Amino acid sequence: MSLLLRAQQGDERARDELCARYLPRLRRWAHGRLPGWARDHLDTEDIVQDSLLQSIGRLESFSPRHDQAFCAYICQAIRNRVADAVRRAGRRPSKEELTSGSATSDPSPFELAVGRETASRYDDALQKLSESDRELIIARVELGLDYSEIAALAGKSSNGATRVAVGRALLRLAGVMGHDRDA
Amino acid sequence: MTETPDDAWLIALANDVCDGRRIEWESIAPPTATPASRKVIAELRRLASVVDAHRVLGEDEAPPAAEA
Repeated sequence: MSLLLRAQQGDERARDELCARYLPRLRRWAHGRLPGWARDHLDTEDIVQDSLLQSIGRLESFSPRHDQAFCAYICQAIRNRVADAVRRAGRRPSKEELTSGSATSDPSPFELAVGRETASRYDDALQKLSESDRELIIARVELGLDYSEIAALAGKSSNGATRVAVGRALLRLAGVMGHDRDA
Repeated sequence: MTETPDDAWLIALANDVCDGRRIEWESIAPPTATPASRKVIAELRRLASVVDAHRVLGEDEAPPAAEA
């Protein structure tokens, strides 16, 4: 039985394991994916931890089309919480932020590393994938889970099958990016 | 949208990208590669930078090793 399913059924050890496994990775992910303004002005550590604990707390009502959608679900929950916090903070920006426009234009470390265009095209293409492909990409590429961890989360018996599924998902992502480039 | 090629060698290449392996991009395509496959390779090359960025940013944030 997958780790996620056990956690959904109220297994406390499975919930603790989910938390221990994902919290450090989600912190690193948030560091790379959030703009400097958000990291400087919001307590992203708390946002990440609260989002993970809330998402785990709501697992009973979590009903993805695929068993594997947990990583994408958590990352989206963090993005939503940060967007809400930025909107709330945006109602009372400091004088410096108003003049610099940093609240809206500050790039994330990820955007700085790959360029805004590539970052934007990657994010857009990711949203066009199926839920299961998107989950595999986020789990492997963004959170750095290894194939055995992805297999355990998804309840897959074979690391090899998981590896092939991740490879196919990345190919489909590349296909969407190529299609968007031609459009 | 046309279907994305998913030959075994392309899947293996995609896994190498995911795993952050060093790839000789200029010589990776076999002579029999189709234009569609070459297009996917070009996007995989861009995705390699996305994978690399996530890995490097994750390492930057990793907690320091405990002192002996």
